[in-house]
Amino acid sequence: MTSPISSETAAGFPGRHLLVSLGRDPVSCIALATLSALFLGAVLAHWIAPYDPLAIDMMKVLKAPSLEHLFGTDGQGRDIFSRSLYGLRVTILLGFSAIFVGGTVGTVIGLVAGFYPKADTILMRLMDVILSFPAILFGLAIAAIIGSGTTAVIIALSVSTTPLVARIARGAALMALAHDYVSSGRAIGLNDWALLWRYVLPNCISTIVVFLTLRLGQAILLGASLSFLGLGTQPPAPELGTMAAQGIGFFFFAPHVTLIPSFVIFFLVLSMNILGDSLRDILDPRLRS
Amino acid sequence: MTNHADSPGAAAAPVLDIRDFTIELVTGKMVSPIVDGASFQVHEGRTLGIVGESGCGKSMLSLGIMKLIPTPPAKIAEGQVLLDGSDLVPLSDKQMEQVRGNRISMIFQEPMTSLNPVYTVGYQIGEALRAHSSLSSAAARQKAIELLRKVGIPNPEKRVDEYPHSLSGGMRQRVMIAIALACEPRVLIADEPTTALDVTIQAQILDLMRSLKTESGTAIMLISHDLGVIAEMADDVIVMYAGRIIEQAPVHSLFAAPSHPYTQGLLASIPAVEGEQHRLQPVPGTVPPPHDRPKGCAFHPRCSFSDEKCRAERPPLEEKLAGHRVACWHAGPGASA
Repeated sequence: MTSPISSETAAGFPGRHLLVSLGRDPVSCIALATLSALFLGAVLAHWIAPYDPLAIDMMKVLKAPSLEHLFGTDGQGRDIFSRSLYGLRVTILLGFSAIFVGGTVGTVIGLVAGFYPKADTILMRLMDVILSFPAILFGLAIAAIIGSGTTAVIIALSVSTTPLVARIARGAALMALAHDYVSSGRAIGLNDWALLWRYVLPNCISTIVVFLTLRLGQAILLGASLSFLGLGTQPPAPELGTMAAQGIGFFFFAPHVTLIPSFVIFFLVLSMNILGDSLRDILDPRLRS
Repeated sequence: MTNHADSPGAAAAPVLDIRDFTIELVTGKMVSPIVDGASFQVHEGRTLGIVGESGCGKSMLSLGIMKLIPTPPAKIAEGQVLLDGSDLVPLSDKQMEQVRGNRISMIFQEPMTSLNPVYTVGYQIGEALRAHSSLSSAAARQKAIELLRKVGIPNPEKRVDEYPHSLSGGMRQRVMIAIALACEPRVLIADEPTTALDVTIQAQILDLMRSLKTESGTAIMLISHDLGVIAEMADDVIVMYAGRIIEQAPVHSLFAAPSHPYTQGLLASIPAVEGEQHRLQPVPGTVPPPHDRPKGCAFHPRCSFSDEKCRAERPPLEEKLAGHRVACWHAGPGASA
């Protein structure tokens, strides 16, 4: 007897299977290694960083990369390598908080919309409205209201992530609701809360998680863009987008000030996207042969 | 358990008493009845079989009794569902949650997809138990093992921790039965419980249901399009066509003397194992959709006996023989069959 795909994939999180599948693909391996290195750097910034990221040294302004200063120095003589490590920390934190907040709110809205047809139209049209504004515009609006800073960026990213997650979650919920096990759950007398929490959510979660891993890269990129525009983390605090913006003035004679933080963002987002893609290939039952 | 007389109504008060039950499908401005004025009773320790073609409203009837029909578009328009004398129709969703799985349970057609894939079998049986009693999870697990043993699953101590995907279809249907019977319901509604299973497993499941019925005295409503299953399992039978009950009789009476031309057609369309072999007689045509039911008797376009009266007036469900009710102008004592 052949069993339907859904029942196989949902049976517990395929943790081991996941690592084995990732290990088979060399590109994913490199991405995983890069990402791990970047994360380690961010977490251990306090111990790794050779200099204080805020220490100004006017004698060593705009030095090119050398052994003394691995990534060179910026317009105020600060060590770019140290600043990149600390900046990475802020950038990653921005992305993760946005994904966490937007993911949670979006999942709740999506599941409720899928579960209660009466709430569906109102909630999803609201999501469409939010979706029609570019995230950058949200950043501008929120920065105008509460002032520029890390909080403004997190709010803007969360708000722009929410409707995307809500759509995915609603679709996944509708698919889960069409299964007989939801009817049989109802038939044993479970209430809506139990059905949503124990029947619908667990059967949607892998779809949502895969989407969030793909969204994480975008969120980080957006966060960096907002900081680049001056809406996010304020100088002198290091943040990769802010750092890239600070180098614009001397781009033609000291391009490393802008290029190095940009490349760090590039590698961060690229490795996240590659991993997100492979994660989707592994977890999405429709793409699995 | 007292052994009831062979005719319905002769016994004590029924467990489930359905009166004038009507479910309507509302699409736009159009209102079409999908179950139309069904009245019948189910008694303790007895099995009521409901037969009919796809689309005749038998599944909607069972979902309607559980109040599980999707509202909108469908809604219960009128009628009563008396469970031990109290009406379920006016109950709120909250109150219905107390009834479902506790006093009425249901088994679905597709055992392969009827279990939640993310939880173990034991957890899901325990879930049904804990929804209606304040059992601890250890006690629920113990009870789950007992139930699994009762429905004939070998090695229940081990199986209780397995996920549905590692069980076969027959095993899963046994688990579904264990879940349905967990709270010792008064009524068990089985909607095509064996349709998705192969024949040997089908026989095992039917045996199991029969023995559980004798043990617990649960009244069973068995929905099937398989007349063989009905003949084997049911004490009384209802034949549905286009949302209406067209024939209602004790099982022997129905199979010995089918009175409605549709029932006769259904019986003629199954091959006889013994005796002379004839070409099978299919009933021509299909069940008309709910929004396009013909005037008069809904069966008349497919019926070889139909005349003016059939086209104009709808025949009432009347007792033509003792305990045998038929909705046909041409049926009855002395009528040609």
